[in-house]
Amino acid sequence: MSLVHHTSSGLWRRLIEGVWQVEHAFERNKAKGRAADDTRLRIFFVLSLFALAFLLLAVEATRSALFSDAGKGSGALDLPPEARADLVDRNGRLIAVDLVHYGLYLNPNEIWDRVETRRGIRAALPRLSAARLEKALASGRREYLIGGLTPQERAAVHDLGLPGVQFEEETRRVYPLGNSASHLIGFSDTAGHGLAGSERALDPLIRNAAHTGATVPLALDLRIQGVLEEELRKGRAEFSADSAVGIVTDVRTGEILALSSQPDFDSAAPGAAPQPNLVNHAAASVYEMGSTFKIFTLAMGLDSKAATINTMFDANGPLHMGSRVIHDYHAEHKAISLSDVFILSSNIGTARLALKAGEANLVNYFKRFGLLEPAKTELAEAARPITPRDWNASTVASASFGYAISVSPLNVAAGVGAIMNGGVYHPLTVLKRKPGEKIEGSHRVVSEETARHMLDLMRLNVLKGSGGKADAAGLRVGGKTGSAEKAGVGGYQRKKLVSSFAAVFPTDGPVDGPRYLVLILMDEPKATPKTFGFATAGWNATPVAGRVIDRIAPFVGVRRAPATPFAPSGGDRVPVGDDVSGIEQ
Amino acid sequence: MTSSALTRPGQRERLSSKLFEVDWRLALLLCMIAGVGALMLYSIANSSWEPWADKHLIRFGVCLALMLVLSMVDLRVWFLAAYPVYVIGFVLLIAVAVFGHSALGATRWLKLGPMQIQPSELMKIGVVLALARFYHGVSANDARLSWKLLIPAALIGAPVLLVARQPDLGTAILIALTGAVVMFMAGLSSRVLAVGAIGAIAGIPPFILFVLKDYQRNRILSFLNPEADPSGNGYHSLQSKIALGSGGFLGKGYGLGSQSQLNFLPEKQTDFIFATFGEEFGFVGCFGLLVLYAAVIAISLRIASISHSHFGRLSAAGVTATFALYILINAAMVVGLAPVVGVPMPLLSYGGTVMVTVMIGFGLIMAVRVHRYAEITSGRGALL
Repeated sequence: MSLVHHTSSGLWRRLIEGVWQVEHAFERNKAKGRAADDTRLRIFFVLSLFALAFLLLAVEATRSALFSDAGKGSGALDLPPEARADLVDRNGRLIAVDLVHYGLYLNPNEIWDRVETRRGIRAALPRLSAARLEKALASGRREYLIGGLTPQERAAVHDLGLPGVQFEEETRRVYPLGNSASHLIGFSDTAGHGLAGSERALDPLIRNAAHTGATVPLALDLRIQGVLEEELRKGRAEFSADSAVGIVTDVRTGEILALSSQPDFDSAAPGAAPQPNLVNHAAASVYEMGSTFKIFTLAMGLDSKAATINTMFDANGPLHMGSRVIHDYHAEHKAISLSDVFILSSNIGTARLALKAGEANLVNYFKRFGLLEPAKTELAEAARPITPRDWNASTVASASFGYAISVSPLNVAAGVGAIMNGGVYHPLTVLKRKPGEKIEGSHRVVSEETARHMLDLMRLNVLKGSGGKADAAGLRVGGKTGSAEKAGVGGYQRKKLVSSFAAVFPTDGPVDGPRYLVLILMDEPKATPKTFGFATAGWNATPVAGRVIDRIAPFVGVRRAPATPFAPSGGDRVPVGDDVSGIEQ
Repeated sequence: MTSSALTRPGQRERLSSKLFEVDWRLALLLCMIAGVGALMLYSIANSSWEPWADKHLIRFGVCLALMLVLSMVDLRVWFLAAYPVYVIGFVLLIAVAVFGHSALGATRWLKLGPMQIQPSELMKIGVVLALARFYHGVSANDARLSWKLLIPAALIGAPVLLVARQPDLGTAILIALTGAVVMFMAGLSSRVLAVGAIGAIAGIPPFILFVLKDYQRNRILSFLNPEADPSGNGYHSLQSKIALGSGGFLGKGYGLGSQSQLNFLPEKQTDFIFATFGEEFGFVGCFGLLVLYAAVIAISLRIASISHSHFGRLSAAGVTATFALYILINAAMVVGLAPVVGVPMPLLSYGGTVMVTVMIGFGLIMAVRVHRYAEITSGRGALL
């Protein structure tokens, strides 16, 4: 064996010696001239080789049969590859489940009576299209006719006793809630791939959990979701809004407790819904939010020490920015304090604050609030905000009160949630967090002091400002309205608004205490006689948020307090600072 | 069971003595394997004798009778028939190449009236017989290393090329390997063998790249990475592994294998019947079946080694090698150790030609046993 190097390891050498010994045995037999013995020895050698090969096969067969993942187990864990784990809400209520359905196959070669087969199947399965049936009957081989048969449907067809009709089990994803929370839950295809919502966002998790038999708990609370959807639907109908968005989060954890985007669809039949209904406006649509953005600008101003809560701003007359003029909806024509800038929703004051703090501060803080990138959440639908190409005095002034920058409602929920959470940002999640779980990607965005001031300002705005209609009794609601004119051809359109209300409750208690955020947004709500012709947020998004808060407080365990010292005088208060921000050129 | 080597003249030639000399253990093992085959074919036809199980049993019965008849044939007749059988097989192979009958994209069959025969199957026996016949008259030294070895090389190479051209890669590999085993047993220098093996391994990549047809190349590539194309080329291999894996230790039970019952497993009644078996009878069943096969091989090689004639030794060992390679290649393919080549599991798989080949082979092995004391003189006139 000249092929072997002298540097071979010991094992190799022993192997070579073994081969040499066999070879020597052959040679010895040769030398004795006993071909028969030689051949016998060689036959034995071949037998040994075969034995070795059999051993190898046995080992591999053992591995395949006992230790391989392919088709693992004998029955109990015999999961189809498309298997997905059950989804449940945070209280363990079932949201999505795999159920066994049946696929119907037709083998025309085995059919005796085509007429009878056609008649029977049509009668038992009215939802099967006649054309499909004809095609299968005309084909010369076994064909898949229709899937998703329920056991009852299967029984109906089976009982016909038709030859050539066969069934095979198949897994179908069932969403018992129908339209409820459909954007949050999403849906998957028949091959078990998540295509939208949580089903898509958590796809690997759900598929893996299927094999351990675990359920996947979402952050969703179906009771809160039910309230949110009902109020949002009523509100959207009342104000004839094109679409509406509602989000409820726990600001201490970033958990999305409820999320609704209207119009919606049935998770079980997404294909049947009109295409626009499939859009999750909470995540996939971006809006210029208008005055709601003042939450961010004021937090920035306070936290960067550009101003204190008592700093006075000159709101006397419009602010000229080159060729552009910034107006206030409720012009005060005097110097006002920072808190009045918020409560009166002064564009001029907010813009002056932003300019005073400077462009670097504004961009830095907006970045911290997560407003310059897609909302941090598992949802793949989260859209990238549209931000100004370059930041200058003009864009800084516009962005300070929510123009020139478009973000998704989830961006707002995460950012406002951070400020209301004692200043600590948590990425939003559709998954239920474990108690005491360390949250990845959390970071402080403003100081606790700033957070405290912002909570007070939010509360004051509900007590004295545009958020009055959200003041659910005894729940210390705080909030900020925003009514942004939608950009259209040739500029902003005065009559087409995006109204939003970012509310938080309760505003009292420790700065990092339990607190919940409710964000309501309506796209193009219309004025009604009851709103005296107004279509601004104080008249539509705000009361919806108030009703939602009023109804969900028991579910999140917020107790009603006796009337606060700042209790309103009663009666139907007209929001004083209702704010349409305007930019005139 | 074995009678003494000392017998009266003419006693060994009596039919009754000969029948007594047949290795009935071996026959029983073959019956058991064929029985298991029928059992499986019954199961995968949804518990029906039709269309496979009944024919399988009938064929086996006929072939068993054929085997017994052949085992009575004097070894010297086999010796004389060796070259003629080879020549007939070779001519038929050429005939196939010229006007063969095509099915499934390959030209492997010859139509002879109502019968379709596959000369490549006949050639498996033919090559073994011819090689044994050749080496019978060659000195040990020549068998070890000499120019004369070009003759057996040609005896193997020519049919292998013809069969590979059909294309029938599985059979070609089988004939080539069998030939190599016989050459080795005849005394081929292990150095030549080593060089040959290295040459063969070195020749694999260019062979794959330039000689193989697309479908063959794809099968090899999918063997290396079956998951790359699970519904296409990797399908056989994956489904077969799933079938085996889902069988587990004791199997899903007779008639309950979903992979095979529901047609997920292709060629379930032929090349992949071992996977079907594995799914329904599990690890224990597979192991038991492999033990049966191993026993057949061990007994057959034992028969080869006790034969007094060189021809008997080599032919019996060669046929055994063919049989063993059938099993090894098929099982390796099913458990995913080898690429998918069309080699059936002998006696288990449905298919007439293979059964005839295998049982003729066992007829030869039995004949070697029955006539193990026969001396065959080289050259003409040996019989008379």
